Parts: sequence; C-alpha cells; structure tokens
Amino acid sequence: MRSWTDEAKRELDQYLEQARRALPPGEDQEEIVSGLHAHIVAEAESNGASVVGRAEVRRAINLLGFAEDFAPAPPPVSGSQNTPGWKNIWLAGVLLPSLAITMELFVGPMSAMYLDPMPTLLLFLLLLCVPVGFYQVLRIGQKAQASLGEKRSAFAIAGALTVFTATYSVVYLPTVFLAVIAILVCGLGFLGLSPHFALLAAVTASLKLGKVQCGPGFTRREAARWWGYGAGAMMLLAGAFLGRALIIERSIQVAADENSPWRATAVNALRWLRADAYVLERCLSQPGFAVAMPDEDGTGDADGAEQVHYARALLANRWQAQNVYFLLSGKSYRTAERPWSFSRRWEFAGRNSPPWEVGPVDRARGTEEIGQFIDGLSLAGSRLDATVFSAKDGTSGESAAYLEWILEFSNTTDSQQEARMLIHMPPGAVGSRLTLWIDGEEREAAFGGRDQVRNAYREVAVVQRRDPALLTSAGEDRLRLQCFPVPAHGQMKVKVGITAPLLIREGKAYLRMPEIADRKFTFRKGLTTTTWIESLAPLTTNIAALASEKTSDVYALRGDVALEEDAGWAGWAAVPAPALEAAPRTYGAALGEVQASMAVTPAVDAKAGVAPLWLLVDGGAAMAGVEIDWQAMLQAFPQGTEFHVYFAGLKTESLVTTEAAEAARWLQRKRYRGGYDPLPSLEAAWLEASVAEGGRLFWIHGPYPNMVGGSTAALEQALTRRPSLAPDGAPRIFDVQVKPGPNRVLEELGLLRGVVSVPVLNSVSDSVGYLAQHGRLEDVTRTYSLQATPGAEPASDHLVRLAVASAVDAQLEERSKEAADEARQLAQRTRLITPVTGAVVLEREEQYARHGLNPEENEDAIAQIPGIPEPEEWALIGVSAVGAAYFLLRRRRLAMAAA
Amino acid sequence: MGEAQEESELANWMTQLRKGLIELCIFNLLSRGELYGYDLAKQLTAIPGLVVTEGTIYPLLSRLRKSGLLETRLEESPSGPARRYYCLSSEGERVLILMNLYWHELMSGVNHLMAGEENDAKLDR
Repeated sequence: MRSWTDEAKRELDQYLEQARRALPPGEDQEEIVSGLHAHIVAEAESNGASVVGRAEVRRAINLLGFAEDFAPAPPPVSGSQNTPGWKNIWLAGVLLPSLAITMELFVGPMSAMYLDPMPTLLLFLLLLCVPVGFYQVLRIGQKAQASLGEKRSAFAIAGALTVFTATYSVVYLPTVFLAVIAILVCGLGFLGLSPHFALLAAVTASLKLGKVQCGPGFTRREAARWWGYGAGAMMLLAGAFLGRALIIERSIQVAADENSPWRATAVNALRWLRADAYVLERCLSQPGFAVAMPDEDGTGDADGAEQVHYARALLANRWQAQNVYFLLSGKSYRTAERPWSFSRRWEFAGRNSPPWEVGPVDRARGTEEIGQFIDGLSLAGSRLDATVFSAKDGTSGESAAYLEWILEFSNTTDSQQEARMLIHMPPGAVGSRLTLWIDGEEREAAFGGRDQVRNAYREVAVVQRRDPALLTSAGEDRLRLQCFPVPAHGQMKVKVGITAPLLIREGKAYLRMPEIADRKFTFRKGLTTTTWIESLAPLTTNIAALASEKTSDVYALRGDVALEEDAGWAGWAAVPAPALEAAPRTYGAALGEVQASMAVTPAVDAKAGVAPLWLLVDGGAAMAGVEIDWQAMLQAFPQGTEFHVYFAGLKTESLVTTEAAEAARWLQRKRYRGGYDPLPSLEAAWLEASVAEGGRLFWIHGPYPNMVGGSTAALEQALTRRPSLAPDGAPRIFDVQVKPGPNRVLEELGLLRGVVSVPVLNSVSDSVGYLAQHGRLEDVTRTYSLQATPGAEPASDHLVRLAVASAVDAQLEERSKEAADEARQLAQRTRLITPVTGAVVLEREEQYARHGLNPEENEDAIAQIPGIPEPEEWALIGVSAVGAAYFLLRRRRLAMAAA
Repeated sequence: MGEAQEESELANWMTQLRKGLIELCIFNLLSRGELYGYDLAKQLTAIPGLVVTEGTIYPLLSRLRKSGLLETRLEESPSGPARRYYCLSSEGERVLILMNLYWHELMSGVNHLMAGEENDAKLDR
C-alpha cells in the first residue's frame, strides 16, 4: 500500500461515512461501503504515485459520484402497489380471520356446527396460519426489491391460502344466506363470512403478486409453478384431514349397518386408519348443526336416524358411532377414557363444560338408558353390609343373605345431574329395599307397579326436578338405580337392599358379591367399598382385601374392596352348608301376613346321556385377559359329546368335533379383538341346538354394552317358537358372562324364561365344568311354597322374599294378565323389586298420592323393612338359632326312635 | 414541445433504458468469470453509452447478491483493503440465460420493426 496523507485519509473516511448514512436501512451497508472503500483505494493509487493525497481521493470520489447519488432510487411506483387492494387483503386476510379464530377459540359456534369432533389442536394451528400467511404475502408483496426466496415463498403461501380458504368457503357455503340475513337485520355476521372473504383475499393477493413481483428475474411461469407447489401441498394436507374424516364417516355408517356385506371391511378400514379416538369423540359429540335442526317430528332431538341434515349422507350419527366404537374396541364408549381433544379445551381452566353452558347436558335423563359418563359426576362413597343367615350348628341354615349397599354420589358440575347404574346382584337375588337420604333423613321407598313408579319418578325427576330415587329390575339378576338430582356441587346418598339365596356347592354355601354392571358416573380416585359381612357361622372368602374376624359368637369379614373395573369380580363369601340329607329339610318364615316355606333336598344329577353341545364364544376384546382353561372345561362334558363351537368375531367361525381336546386347541389359538354382534350367531346356534335331542347352548362372553345388531326380535322369535326349556323343565340356554358389565341382550329379552345365567365362582372353567358334570348349578333343590309348613325350622323373613320372588317368576311364565296382576300385587305387598314392580322414593305425600302410591300401605310389611342386624340383635338371632337346633335335634331323635 | 422538454424526455428515456441494461451487462461480464467491484465498475464504464456512475454499482451488486443471483468471496489484498469478488450463482446463471433470450428477442423484434420502417420510408421515397 502506498502512503496516504492524513487529508486523503480524512477525505476517504468522510466520504465513506456520508455513504453509510445515505444508504437506506435494509441495505447491506458494510458490503457496499467496503466495496466503495476498495474502489477508491484502487482508483486513487492507479496513477502510480508513491503518495496518495487528497486530490487523488477526490478524483476517485468524483468518478464514483456523490454519496447521496448512489443511494438507491425508490423503485418505480407501479400502479398495482400501494393501491387500496393491499388494504383490502389485510382486512379480509388478516383482520377478519384473526377475529373469527379468536371468536372460535372462546365460543366455537362454527367448529361445533361443522367440525366436531374434528377441531383438533392441529387444525386450530392450521387456522392460525391463515392470518400469518396473509401477513407474509402482504409484507413480501409490498417490498420493492424482494429476494428470489421471498418471491417464491410469497407465491407458495398464496397458493396454499387459496386452496385452504376455498375448502373452508365450500364447507361454510350454507352459512352465507344466514350471515347475509344477520348483516341486513342486525348489522352483524361478518365473521360468518370470513372464509369467503379470505378466499377473495387469497385470489386477489395471488394476482397482485403476479403483477408486482414478476419480471425478468422471476417470470410469471416460475411464479405459477411456486403457487402450484403451495396449492398442491395444501391440497394434500386438506385431503389428509377431510379425506380421512370422510372415509371414517362413511366407514362408520357401513359398519353400523348389520345387513351390510361390507361391515367387516368397514371395521377393518377404521382399524387401519387408527380411528378409535375419532369414533370415540363422534360417540360423544354430534355436529351441533344436526342438533340445532328440528327433526321431521319437530322434537329437535337429533339422535337416531331421523335427523334432518343436508349432510346426512356424509356424517354418521351418534348412535352409529357408539355401536361402531364397540365393534372397534370391544368396549362401551361410556367407559372408555376420552382422549384429550381441542373441543375439551375448557379443561385447561378446570371446567368440565364450556363457560356458557351450565354444566354438561344429560340427554338420557329419566330414561332407562345409562348414557355416557358425565365428567364431574362420581361415586364418592360405597359401603356394603351383609348378613349371612346361619344356624347355630355353624351352617348356612335357610341359605340366604341380606345385603345393604350405601352409595354416595358426588357432583362437581354446575348443574343437577342424575346418577344411573346397573347393579349385578348375586344369582337368584331380589331387590328388597330402597332408601334415600333427604335433608339428612332416611326416606323409605313406596312399592308399586313398574310403570306406576317409573311414571312417578319421571314426572318428579324430569319435570319437577325434586328429590326422587327409583329402583327397578333390568333383566335377570340386575337392578337399575336412578337418583335425581345429585345437586350441583353436592352429594346424594341412597341405600339398596338385596335379598340373596346362597349357592350351595360341595359343602359350602356361597354368597356371590354384587357388582356394578354399568354406570354413568366415574369412581372417585382410589374408591373402595367398605365391606362388612357377618354371620354366626365361620366365614371364608376369595377376596384378598377382606380379613376374617370373630367377636363373641359373630364371625365377620371386613376390609376395603377396590372398585376399579374387574376388581372383586367373582368375589364370594361362604359359610359351611348344612349336611345334605335324603329327607327334605324344611324352613318356614312369615313376613307380615305372608307365610312361606322352603324344602331343601339334595339335587340329583341330570341324566348322564351324551347330548350335543353348542358353544358360542365371544371373539371380542372383552374376553382377552380372561384365563379360561378350555381343556378342563370341555373335558368335563361326557365322553363322546358332539361340540359345535362358534367363535363369533366380526365374522363367525365354527368347528364341529367330538374331541374335547381338538375343540380346546382350536379355541386356544383364537385371538380376541374388538366387539361383535352376538344376535345372528345366537339365533343360528339356538336354531340348530333346539332341534337336536338334548341340545344345549352355552354362550360364553364378556360384557355386551351396545346393541349393535339393532333388534332382538328374530332371536326372541326363535326362543319363543323353540322353547328353551326341556320337557322336564330343565334349561337349555346357559349364559356365562366372564367379566362384570352390562348384557344388553339379556336386558332386551327381559321376561323370556329358560335362559339361565351361570354364576362364575373362582374361574369360568370351574363354573362351566361343574354344570357340565352335574347338569345343575348347585347341590340342592329348593322348593318354595307360599304356605306355612308345620314343623318347619324357623328362618329369617328373607326366606319369604325369596319364595315370593320365585312365585312371581312362575306366575309371569303363565303370560296372562290375571297372573301378572296377581304377581304384581304379591310383590308389592312384600316390597320386592320384580319385573312387574319397582320402588320409588318421592319427596312429598301429594306426589305419592298423585301417582296412586302410598308409602304407608301394607303396614305389616313396612314394619318389617329389612335391615342389617344391630350388634344386640345378634344375641336374639343366636337364641332363636339355638331353639332351631334343639328342634332339629329333637326331630332327629324322634325319627330314630320311630325307626 | 420545446427543445428543452424534448431533451428532458430523451434523457429520461435513456436513463430508464440504461437501468435495466446495467444488470444485463453485469450478468454477462460475470458469466466470463469472477470479478471484483472495481474491475466490474471499470468494465461497465468502458461500455459506450451505458453511462454508469461507478458508485451505483455497489448497492446494485449487494442487492443482486441478497437476491441469490450472485455469490461473493472476500480475498485479502496485500496492497489495500480486502477485495470482494463476485460471480454468478446457479440461479444467476439461469436468469442470465433468460435475460439474454429476452434481450435477443426484444432486440430482433425492435430491429425488425425498425428495418420495416426504413423500408417503408424507402418505398415512400
């Protein structure tokens, strides 16, 4: 470098500083200034002089031009820039969509109307991209000298925005009319038009970008290509969203149609698309548009197939989704854990419903449907007390027990809720008490005809919203409990009494514990049933949580039994059974004016002939995890039995063999998956079994919470035309449920006789094996009579209840109105829940009077409302048991003396 | 139209015409190999009629680089400040082809037009 004078250096620095100041922000000042610097140095030194003075520098600067001159001139203002067009794009593309999205976030009218259950977090983020994308397009579009990358991105974004807004615009097309009316009438409604305005903005922005940003360095053809890239990418994305949703909706419709030959394909398609969560959301939320529209019958109830909906062809209804969810997962949508979705965003704020809704809406209130879980309605307390009646000799005496189950419901929602549940009672049990706490005071139920109590409950619960509770029968060994209202942020407490016969097998008398078969509430976390079982006889149990105790003469089992799904299933408590004697042992008791007796004789094994056996096995996921020893179970049947095995999944497979081992191996290889429709297989198997001499049908299955097959009419016809009772009165259809839960088929069949539920004790294979070996369910035969038998051993009044329940069943079998009336009166007098009677607690006397009910009726029966004995009562029971033992001993001695 | 106004119109037209041509010339110069700013400025000022103020080249080069059409590298100089060498990026090469095509097309069209006018004038004569 040559030497520079100070003046030359100053001149250079001054010039460069001027240049730096003259350059507008955004230019790469350092790059330009360093270029100028290098240029001046090169120019000034180009004359070869050894010293560079101010003059050389000035000459170089003069060649470069004044600093102010080479500041870039503002770009030519073409007609298309800074025109009102950009402002309109800003309004329609940024401002209006931002307002609409904010509105959707807090209120959600449009997404509820069209997109539930689609509004996922991802979709919301995609929506946010609309104003952000328009902002980018505006920013780049208005730039005088956009870089190549910016131009490309602007066109790609414009393409994507055009496709996205066009899709939304088509979806929201039906709202245009409503929005225009709203604008004309109220001056409001622009937000509803935001998808359409945004589409106009996207098209305008694309055209303007073409005018402003295309030129020699970026041709229109290239711009179109980048626009196409963006549009194509968005089409793929929108296709992934909408296409998947539409395929799922169609698959739900097909899978819900029991007559469709494509049913299995549709279910498999849903599995392939991993649509469980989508279908589950669809079970719980209906697009609001459908709900808002009136039905053909004008009720406004959008459930079922009658909804008027322009998109009915596209969208499955909630009923279809609920059934298909069962086919997919084998679980009821009600008990499935609902995945978090954007439509549940209120939970962030600790709410279980949107702020403008006063609590979750229960559409099935007052009906027999259990319905879906209500978030916030839970079982907060559970207490079970039981007495197993026993004789002083340490046996189970009349083989009966009485249980009282106190249930406390808690409601943390902002509105009153109804608690509904199904109780799976011990086999052969009958509901015998219902008590409701009103203002801390126990109120006993009035008993009446089933329809009578149901109507009273519906009127008081649904219309007057007062304090009733209802207990009715729900198929074999099942009770349906309904309580309303569980007040907002409050609790409700009820007590259900159950009288149960003990199941006598191999020297033990078993009390199978009751379970919750179905519910519309959750369990408080870690909830247990505080259990206390007492008897004068030694108690044993298979429930690990129960500890054995003995105080004075009373044996007890105590502990906290977990209430989670499957916990405590097939749990039992047992006392020693009385010794079986050839002569019948007779027990007698009275309940008010009603007397009854029971003769107990050892049961005789059914004839040991070899008869064909139909085995219908549920192929659904509910069976998975249940250990069934097929080998042991099937080998318990006589050698040479012809096994007709049906494995009912989405498609039914079958096997006919006389080899138990082969059938067992075949079943062991099967995989349990999803849910299934048992009705066609049940009907087909029964039609075959019923014409075979001695043919029997065993239906081994998990809970069946949804009637995916629609109607039981065909099965009912098959059972009626080909009765399920053998000529000797023996049942021919055996229902073996391997897990607690609802069984909609049995509920629907209701009063049909001849379908016997096989109680599961210990294991499924043990229980079926016992039945296979003996052809009966227990070691004794009980014969009830509603008359006093002289010399009968005294028993508790629960014997009368069991005798009445048996008589009611027998009368209902006659299928005549007179017999049904007689059965109803008998059950009502003895305060029992039967298929024709129920119990209801109302708040005020005039409510009872209006429905022809009288809680004071049958004074004698009321005086003997069943209860768990207090500690001091055990002494009296003990004395009477001693008397009974003395009586028995004396009778035996007399008999021996006579011999 | 007065003489002064005619001159002003002409000057304005020439300025507009030259503006686009400077970029075309830069691209074509760089298509032969990399150059640093000073060389580039000198070669441009040597083109008759282009009338380039050397200082305006540097902001233009900077913008073309930011657009991705040019690439640069710095090289330390033993006799002065570091020199920034410019060359065409692959995108710039593609744009150069398009620009040249456009230029030739335009020039031939304009030439053709002008030749037609001359013929017409001859025929008129």
